[in-house]
Formats: sequence, C-alpha cells, structure tokens
Amino acid sequence: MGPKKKIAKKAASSPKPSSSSSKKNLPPCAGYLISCDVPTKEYIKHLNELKPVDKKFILEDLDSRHLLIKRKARDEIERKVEAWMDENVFSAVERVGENLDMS
Amino acid sequence: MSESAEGNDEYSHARKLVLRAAKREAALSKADAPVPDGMGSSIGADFSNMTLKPDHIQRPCWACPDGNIYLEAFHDLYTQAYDFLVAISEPVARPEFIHQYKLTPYSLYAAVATNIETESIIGVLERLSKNALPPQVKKFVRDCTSKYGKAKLVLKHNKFYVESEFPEVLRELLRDPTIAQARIQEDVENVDDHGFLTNTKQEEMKENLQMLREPDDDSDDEMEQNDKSKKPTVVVSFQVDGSKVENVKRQAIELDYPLMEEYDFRNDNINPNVPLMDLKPITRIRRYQERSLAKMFGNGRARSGIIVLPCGAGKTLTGVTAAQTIKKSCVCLATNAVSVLQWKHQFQKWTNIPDDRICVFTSDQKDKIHPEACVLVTTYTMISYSGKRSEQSQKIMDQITGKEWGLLLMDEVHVVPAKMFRRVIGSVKAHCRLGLTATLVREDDLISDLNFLIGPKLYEANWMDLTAQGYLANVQCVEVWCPMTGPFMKEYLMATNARLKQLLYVMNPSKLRAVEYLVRFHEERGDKIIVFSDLVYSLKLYAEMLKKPLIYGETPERERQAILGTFRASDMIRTICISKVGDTSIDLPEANVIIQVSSHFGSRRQEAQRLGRILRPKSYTRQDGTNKSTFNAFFYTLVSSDTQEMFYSAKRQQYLIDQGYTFKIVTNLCEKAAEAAVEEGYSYSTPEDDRKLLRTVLQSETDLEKEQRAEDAAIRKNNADGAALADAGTKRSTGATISQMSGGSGMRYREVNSSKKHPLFRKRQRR
Repeated sequence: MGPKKKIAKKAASSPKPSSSSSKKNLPPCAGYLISCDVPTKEYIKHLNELKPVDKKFILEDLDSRHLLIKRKARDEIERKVEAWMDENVFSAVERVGENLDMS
Repeated sequence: MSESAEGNDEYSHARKLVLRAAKREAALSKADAPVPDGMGSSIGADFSNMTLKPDHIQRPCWACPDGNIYLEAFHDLYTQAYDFLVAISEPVARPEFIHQYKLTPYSLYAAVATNIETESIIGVLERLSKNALPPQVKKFVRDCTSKYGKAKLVLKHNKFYVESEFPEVLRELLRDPTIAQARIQEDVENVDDHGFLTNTKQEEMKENLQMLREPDDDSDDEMEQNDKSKKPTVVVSFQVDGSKVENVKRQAIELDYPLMEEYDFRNDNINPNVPLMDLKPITRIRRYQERSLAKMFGNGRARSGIIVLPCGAGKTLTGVTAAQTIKKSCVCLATNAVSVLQWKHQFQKWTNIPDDRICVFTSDQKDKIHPEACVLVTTYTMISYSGKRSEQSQKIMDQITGKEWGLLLMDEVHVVPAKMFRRVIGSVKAHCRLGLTATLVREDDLISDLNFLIGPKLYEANWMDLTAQGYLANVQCVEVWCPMTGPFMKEYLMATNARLKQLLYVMNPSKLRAVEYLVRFHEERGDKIIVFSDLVYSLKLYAEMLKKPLIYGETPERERQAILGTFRASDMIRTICISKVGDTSIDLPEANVIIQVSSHFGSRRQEAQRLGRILRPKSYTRQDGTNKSTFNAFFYTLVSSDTQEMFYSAKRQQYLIDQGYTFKIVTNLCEKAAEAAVEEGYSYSTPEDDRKLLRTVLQSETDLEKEQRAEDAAIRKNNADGAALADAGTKRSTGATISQMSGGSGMRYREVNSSKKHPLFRKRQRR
C-alpha cells in the first residue's frame, strides 16, 4: 500500500484583506480559505463542533468543499487532519516476525 | 492412559519442540549484523560488509546473515533455485520479481525430513548465493539439523523400528534406560557388531534430489555412474516394543532427537487394503500435485506432513490420491457437513471405491463402518466432541478409536483450534497424517505447533507460477475507494458505537452506486457475480437495490438450492448476494467476479478464502503460459475512504500480497458511478435518496443488531459442526485497540459472533 494521498489538502490563501472589503454587514476579520474534499471538510467541522463556544474557529461555511477559518487555528487543524489521515493506514512493518515471534 | 490425556501428552511434546526451535531462532537473530548507527530503529540492517563473489551475476540469490534469502525470480536459474529454497526455507513474500525466503528451524526440519542432508543444504546454498555464505547461516543450519531427522521411527511389517544412518545416534539413544528397555533383540542374520540390524537405505526419488545437483552439470550419466559405484548407504536399526513406542518417542524428544515417523505401508500386511480404491483412468494429476505427493512418498514410505495448495488448485484430488496410494483405512476430516459430502463425492469421482467402503459420520448421517477397511469422512467436531453422545454415534466412535488407521487426512488444518486437535490426535490412531490447507496463516502461533503435531510442511505451491501455467484464473484485484458523502461522514464522526460506525461505512451511498455500476458493467459482459456482505442488514438492502436474489443464514434450504442451482446452470441469474454463510457452510458455485462490500475486519483468511471462489480456471483459461498476460477474473473490494475500513482492508490484503498479488487502487470509479446513476436512473442517485437512506440507517440500528444475532443463530443451527468449530477457536477480546480488534496482536479472528457471552463481558463487547 502506498502512502495515502488526499487529492486536495490545503490551499491556504493569504490572509484575506478584510479591511478592503466594501461589502456591508461583513465583520472585519482575517482568515484562511481551506479547500478540501467532502469528508475532510466534515472532519474539520467535527473538530469545530468539539470546541467550546468561544473557541470555534470556522468563520464561514462556504460550500461543500470550502471553509473559511480563523488564522490562529491553522496549525492545529493541519496537525489534526494529518493525524486523522494516518489513523486508518495499516503499516506492514508491524507484522515483522508474525508467526515466528514467540517471546 | 485415557484418550485425552494421550492427546495432551503429544501436545506438550510439540510445545517443548516449539520452544526449543524458538530458542535457536532467537540465537540467529541475535547474531544479526549490527544495526547501523544513526538509524536508531531496528528497521533495516547493514550487510555491506558481506563479500560478493566475482561471478555473482550468474547466481540467483542473496543469503543474509539473519537467515533471510532473496531470490531473483527473473534469473535463468530461478526454477532450480526455487525448488531448493522452498524445500529448505519458508517463503515470506513472493511478488513478481524478488522473492523473500527465511530459514527457520521448521523449514530446516522439513528439509531433513525429506532426506536433504545438512552439508548439501550448505553446499547448494553456497553455490546459489551471490555473496559468500555468512558463517552465522552455516552455523544455524548445522545447529538446527544436527539432531533433527537423524533417527526415524519406521513402522514396517507392523513392527516399530528406530532407524538411522548413523550408528552413533542409535547408541546414544540406547544409553537412555527407557529406550533400552523398550528394545527387542532379534535373532536375524543381518546384524552388525553392535547388534543393530543393517539394511540398505531406501533410495529417495531422484526428482526430489534433482535440485541438489550442480545446475550446469551436463554429465548426468557420469553422476549416476558415480552413484552406482558408491556403496549403497547402509542404515542401522533396532526394533522396539509396540506397546512402549510412546515412551520411546517421548524420551527421544527429551534427548533432542525427535523421531520422525515413517510408515512402510506396502509392507503392512496386517491392516487390510481398501479394495478397488484406484484412480480412474480419466483422472489426471497435475505436475505440482505430483510434486507434492512425491515429497510425501519420497522413499516409498509415507511421511506425515502438510501440503499447502491455493484454493481451487485441486487440494481434494491431492488428498484422494494420497489415500489411494496408501490404500489402507483412512479417516478424512473436514470442517463441516457440506464439505464432508463434497469429499465423499470426490472420492467417488476420482476412484473406483465401492459405495459400502466409504462412510460418512456427521450429526445427520451415520453410516455403518465397514468392519475391514474403509474410508471414513467426518468432521473435526464429531471426532473431538467430548460430551455425551447418542448410543448410535457412541458405537461408531468406539469403532473409530478401536481401529488402526492407515492415514489421517485433515482438510483445512489451519482452522482447527489447538484443543480440538489434541482430542482428534488422541482418539484416532493413524500411522500417517496428512494436513491440507490453502492458507497456512492464522493469527495465533499454532502454525508452529502443527509442525510437530502433524509434521513438517512438505510442499507449498507458488500462486503466481500456477497462474502463469493456467491452473488458476488470473485475478485482477481491485480496491475501489469510495469517498464518504458529507452527511454520512458527519454521522460517522459523531458515532461512538462501533456497530453504527461499521453500518455507516458499509451503507455509504457512493458504495451503493459503485456496486450498482459494477454489477451492471459485468452483467453486460456476461460475467457471473457474487456480492459478499457480512452485515445482513446491508446485504438485504443491496439485494433489494440490485433486485437480485440473496442468501443468508435464514434463507430456507430449498430456496437456497433453487437459487444456487439456477445461478450455476443458467444465465437467468447472473448475480447473487451472499452473507458470511458463504464462508463456512455453503458449497458456493463458481463465478468470475466478486464484489466485497463488507467483510470481517482484518481477517486475512477470509480474504484468501473468498478469492478462492474465483480462482478455479475458466474454460477459456489458457495453459500455454500466456495466462499471465490477460485478466479473466475480478476481485473488487469496496472501501469507504477515510474510515477504519481502510485499515482493515489493507491488513486483509497482506496474505495475498505476499503471494504476489497486486491490488490496483481505483479512486475515480465512484465519480463515474455517480454520473451513470443520474443518467441511467439507479436506485440511489440524488442527494434526496442519500438523506432518506441515512434516516433509515439511523433508525434501524436496533433492528440491525437483532438481525445480525438472528443470522448467527441461523448459521449455528444449519451448520452445527462448522459453528462449533468457529466457537471453539474464538478468543474473547476486549478490543481496546484497532490492531487488537483486527487480529493484529495475535488474536484469532472470530467467524461467528458468539451470542452466548458471559454476563460479565456482555457489556464490553457491545460497545
């Protein structure tokens, strides 16, 4: 099994220049745009759910593949998504010595 | 000595030998080359200090100091080297180009058992190796073979003889008072000065030793002349008292000279032959079957051991041929009542055995045992059952235990739990034991016990070679990754219950669409398809969606037969859906496409077994060596990506990967399926359908549990023999880690979820 690759991991855009926004009703806020596949988005949303109210990091749920998140949450999300992907990978190295190891 | 105690005894001997072998093995791995600094872990070792021979290009393998041997499968000398390496070492992985083998105490024990001597092992290995043979390897080979196989226990003219080529070995054995006491002095002429009987050695079949010759040796004739001019090897032996044989065996193990048992069946004139048990003239035996049997009957006597052949490669015929070669009474053990009938049928198909000489002993059918010689086909459970039996079956059982059997033939030896084995071996007195299996893997360490309980592994076929020769269908293994849809993923992440999680990844709508897509595609091609699902609830849903017949535990027997019959005989039914009853108790028809929707966690055996359903060669499989180039059977596993299923799926594939299969991963099939779903109006094509499905799934969680339990109960009822077998082998697991649940930490995989749980554990399991 080759290493598992997600199609789109993270295309972090530069912080949104919120101040230049001329639209009304949008709070001035900087963030990252995440574009990923559907299950990964669900996972990130799931992470968000687990946070207490004041620690939520999702700013805007754009569509099924895009999210806008707070800037400071970026590292944590990257780390957690990485770990989550490794979770379901079976490594053949574990089985060295299979039916021979009798210690 | 009571039956079971005797079995136990034998078992403890086996354990002793296993431990001793483990010690030897540990010594070898300790002698490993030092791990290079900086690596920090034990992965990889530095063998760069080995000396390469100048003509290494002409030699096919690498022998490493840790006992691993790597063979170039594309080398000119591959075939010769392969025969030799399989005889002396254990194949670890055999992909297309480089094979890995490992020297183990068991494999060397097996080598010695088939008359390959220590020095010729070292000599030939030295010749084949690209590098100078490391001293550790030489030492290991000498160490392991110095005592094993030096002495044999031969049953000849119904008397037991301890036989050896080396008089000093016999002398050492006789120094032991117990053995000396069991010895019977004979008054015959061919005695040497120590009072040992002398005989010329039984010649080993030439083809078995072919591989030991110089590969580029053209002077075959010369060799033969040399052989002739040499004096025939002399073996010495002494007779032992039949009633004290057990003591002698035990004592020999204590002295670390385990006696190998051989049965001189041609000279057994007390046990009558089964009349007319000959192969019919139409029976054809394939080359690899012949080779495996040649190992067994190498020197004109029968040796005990295990033969490993892939599913669909004619294991049964091999067993039948072995039985008809010995021609004595034979007990044939199968795993369930269905395969008992299959075995009986095969015996009648290939040989001329009269009907009254073959009897079946199962919970439904109890034939009378012929008083003289006969073939008895029964199940492991029937023999090892320890509770009270009905009068009729007790009578038969007494007959079995009271009789002397020529051969004990054991099908699917890898599934039989140790406890059951002990009882079987304790109650059937057979002179020779042959184990047959397709997958010599199990998640506990009983494999090593088998080496001593039955005998060494005599032969193991290479799946890829058989495929290339056209004896097996060329299977394309495909893993289809189905992404979870948003709502399903959300529920999956929130679910705390493992059952619900499983249900969610099995019912993933992308998977449903992919199945429908594949079924439509292959039906159009005219293929026969089996859809496997372990979860009954989802099986029902899949069958409903595809509008195909389904078979599960509660399907009445008559309906089952009708469905299977139609599937087999006509094109009316091209697709059937089957639950895990298909693994244990149904004689599944052949197909050429398997779609695996859900499976039993990480069981490598189930995977191999299911693959076996499509391995039988098809009418259009070519036997001229071109079979390798075109695929003619397909094995699809559908996996919901980003879920635990990915982990299990990868684990399940390991065994097949080691046999050289490659799994092709397809990631875009689901997209295609989704497009087709909209265009052609599949059952689940819109997000609205998905949402409806999700709602039903979430509501039906309790039904699901009920159904799964009903399924298990039904399997149990229909197949008392098979289920009991599975139960007996079950270990209770607390399932704390993923690897534990999947059997990764040496746990056996459970075939049937036992519904009779200890109240203390009930809670724990359900979570």
